[in-house]
Amino acid sequence: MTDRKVSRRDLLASGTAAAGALTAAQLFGSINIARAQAKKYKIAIVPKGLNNPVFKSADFGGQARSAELGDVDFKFIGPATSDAAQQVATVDGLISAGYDAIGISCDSSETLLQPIDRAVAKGIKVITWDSDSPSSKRSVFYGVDSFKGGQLQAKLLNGLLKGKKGDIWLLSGLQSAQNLEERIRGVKTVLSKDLTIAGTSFCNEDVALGVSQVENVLRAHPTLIGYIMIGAWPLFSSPGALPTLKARAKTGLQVVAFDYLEQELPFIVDGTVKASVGQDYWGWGYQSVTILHGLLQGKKYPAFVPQALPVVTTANVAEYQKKWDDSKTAAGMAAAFKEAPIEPS
Amino acid sequence: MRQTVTDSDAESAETDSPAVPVRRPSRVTEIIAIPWVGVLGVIVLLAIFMTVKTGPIFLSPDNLSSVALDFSYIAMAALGSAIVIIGGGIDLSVGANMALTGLLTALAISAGWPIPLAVAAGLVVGILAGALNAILITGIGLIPFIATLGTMSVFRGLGTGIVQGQTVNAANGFTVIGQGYWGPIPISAVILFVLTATTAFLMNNTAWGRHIYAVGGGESAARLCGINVKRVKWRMYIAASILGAIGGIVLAARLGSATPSNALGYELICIAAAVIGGASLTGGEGTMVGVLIGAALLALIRNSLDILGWGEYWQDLIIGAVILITVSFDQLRRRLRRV
Amino acid sequence: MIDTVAMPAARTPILRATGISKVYGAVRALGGIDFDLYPGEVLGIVGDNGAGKSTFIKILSGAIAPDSGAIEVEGAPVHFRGPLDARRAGIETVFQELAVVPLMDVEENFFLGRELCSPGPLGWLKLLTKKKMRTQAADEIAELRVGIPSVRQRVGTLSGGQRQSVAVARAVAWSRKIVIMDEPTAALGVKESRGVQELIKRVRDRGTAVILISHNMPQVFDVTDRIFVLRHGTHAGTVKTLDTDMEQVIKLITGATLHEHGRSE
Repeated sequence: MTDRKVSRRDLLASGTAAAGALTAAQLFGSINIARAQAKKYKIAIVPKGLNNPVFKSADFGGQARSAELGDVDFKFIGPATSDAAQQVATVDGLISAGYDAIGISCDSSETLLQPIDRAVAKGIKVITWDSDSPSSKRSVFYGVDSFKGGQLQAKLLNGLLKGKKGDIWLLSGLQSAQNLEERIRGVKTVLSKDLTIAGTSFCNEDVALGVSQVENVLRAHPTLIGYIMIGAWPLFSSPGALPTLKARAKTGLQVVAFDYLEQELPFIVDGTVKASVGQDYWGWGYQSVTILHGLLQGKKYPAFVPQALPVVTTANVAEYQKKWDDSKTAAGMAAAFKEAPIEPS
Repeated sequence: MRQTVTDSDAESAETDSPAVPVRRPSRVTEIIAIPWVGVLGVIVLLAIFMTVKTGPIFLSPDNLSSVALDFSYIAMAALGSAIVIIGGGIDLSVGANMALTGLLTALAISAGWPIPLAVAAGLVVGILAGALNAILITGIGLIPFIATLGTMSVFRGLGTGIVQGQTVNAANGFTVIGQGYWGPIPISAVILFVLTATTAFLMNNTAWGRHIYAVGGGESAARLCGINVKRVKWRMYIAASILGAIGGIVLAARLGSATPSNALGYELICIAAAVIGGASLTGGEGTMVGVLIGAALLALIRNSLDILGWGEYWQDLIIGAVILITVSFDQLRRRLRRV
Repeated sequence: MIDTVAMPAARTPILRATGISKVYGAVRALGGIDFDLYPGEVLGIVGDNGAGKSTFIKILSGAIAPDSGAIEVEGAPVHFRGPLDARRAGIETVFQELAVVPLMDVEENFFLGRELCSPGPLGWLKLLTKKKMRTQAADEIAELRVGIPSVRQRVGTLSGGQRQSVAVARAVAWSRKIVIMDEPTAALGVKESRGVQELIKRVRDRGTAVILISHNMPQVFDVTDRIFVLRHGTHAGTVKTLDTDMEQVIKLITGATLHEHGRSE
């Protein structure tokens, strides 16, 4: 406890000073190191935005796999906040910096198409993870099938509301995000005929806006029996922030969410959220490096390498909480989320 | 003051006026002169429309108190934005400031600091943020738009860097600031009203406030009249940052968590609230009560769209249209008043 | 023959400037100006564009610091670091740009920068005494008999002449000794200009010394006691208004008949 206190304080003090210099130094520093040590593969993993907590696991996963392989110079780099144009600039920067392989979670499938093709034309191995750019020349897409993820959410809700008839509500983040729209499409194909989607809210991936939308919608629609959160934005708050959701969940409202990040687990623990469909955040980094490294060594992979879709419920939530508790350090996370490297086809 | 009176100038009769009345302008002019009257009208229309359309949900105490909860933190920051706008400046860094102060307060809370100390730390960060803006603007001489555009990125980046993009959990007693109620009234709304009353009093009834209006209304005139323009700007940027910091802390308490990407784009909502409430982007004009009402209108529209389940893909368009219509009405009102 | 006219040496000038110089880069704006102003007089400062009038009065009003030279008020040396210092020494200025805030009302402009705040333990709060200020502003403006409808009216809604009157009334009300007016009628019509001229006379009658900078020769001849002429940043001469005519002053301004009449001191 005391140790933790000290470290937090240090974080406050030293982090403040270092943070500004960090991002600028990151790219250039690593290039120099890479030049000095020959024969290492330079692999970069590019998230949509560094400020999104889901991508932190991908960073640790990539680091872990690079350490295992030994001949990888690993870089996790992307825009500070999610922005397609910034991401294009990042990828172009990596091309200029002479990277051997790049894995990208595409902020916008169309916008990233050209930089991906530019990289491929220069002989750089490119894969996409989490969010694809299907028309580009990338070798592999590694991630969940968003359509299937949505279908799974709907199946879970169908089960929870078996035999009931009524209205449900959807909450999504952005109207323009392809993976989110795919999930919604998936939900709609599987949702029971007894359940009607009364409306959809978009919270701009903003936690506070998501919270207020959920609360507003529930008060305005006292008859809702189900809620599907296409993403978990409102749940990145805390149970106290969503009193109406919590109260209604106790009186029959069934909520299915997405993801199993640490911040949202308390909602599953207290029964507000009955089930959440997860993704393999660790794998985004770990397996992307595996695949990119394999491609650089001439191995072959199918164009789509699907991720598993684990379901977190009250029954198994403790297991996931323990994983996150163990993940305070990179080594702890490597142990908690350990998985076998993907084999080439 | 002088006491001498001369009455020898008989020829000056044409400019004579026996006494200068202190009286206020006429009632009608006075009402038209209140900048937020039109906005209040729009809110009333909205309430009528919503009641006709959806019954008692909109005006239910439950709904209104939840709207009050959700607009309080934005309105707090908007008060600050308005002070800077009245003073002829602009603060684009307020959203990032909210995220940073909320984040650091949450970090302090999660590190086990006592709540008052953590909140005080957040406020200190707010003051420092305001001081940085003030130094860049009055010291180096950057125009406020550029200076605060830069600090917006600095504050946001600082937050992201410190927590490495992670979410910080602050779900303990601290959340009462943002989630608690006194009877039907959210505590955060009470904080907002206290802040509004205080800032309105300072702006209207003290020399500090009057000098902010003067600097915004005519910087060179204010300087020639002996007002220390730099000091006035220091005060207003720090005041704005403190209000933004309070908003950021309340937001963190509201969510029970903080992430570096919180309050993204709130600077524009704050500016919109200030302008809807009658602040002029050319400076020198605006009221604190107007800001409160402007922010309330924006929150009530969002709330209405949520209740109606309308829009989905069109919400932003509807909100943008309402902003433009309200501000256009205001322009019309100003023209009427000039006649 | 034009002579430099001085007031009787026995009287102490209320404002005296000696050897005032100012250089902007390679341009010498003012080269060693000596200047006297006596209590209760209206002194006109005239000169062509670029003669240094503006620079000179900005130095007198503390808005610009001279490169060299000394200023005395009532015989005591003063050093102005800004308009506030000049004001404290009793010199009020009506700048050409008026220094009023159009969005603020007459009273607010009247007290701009020196609001009356309530004393007592809450003094640090700088609480405005609005009622007192309104009454005082109304009284002062009434005394000068300028036609302002209400002290609650925004200055931006007033006519040009009324705005000028507000600026002049403010300067006069606050000034203990000297009022400087820089082109007070430049933007005004004939009738309004006349109003300001009358105002200047009333100010003089109250015992305040006035420095008037103007291009308008009939006006200068109407209201001044003496005329101080600047040419190319130097003092071309000072004349008593009653002893001269417009033609002679214009000759001083342009320097056309310098040799014919002999150089003024």
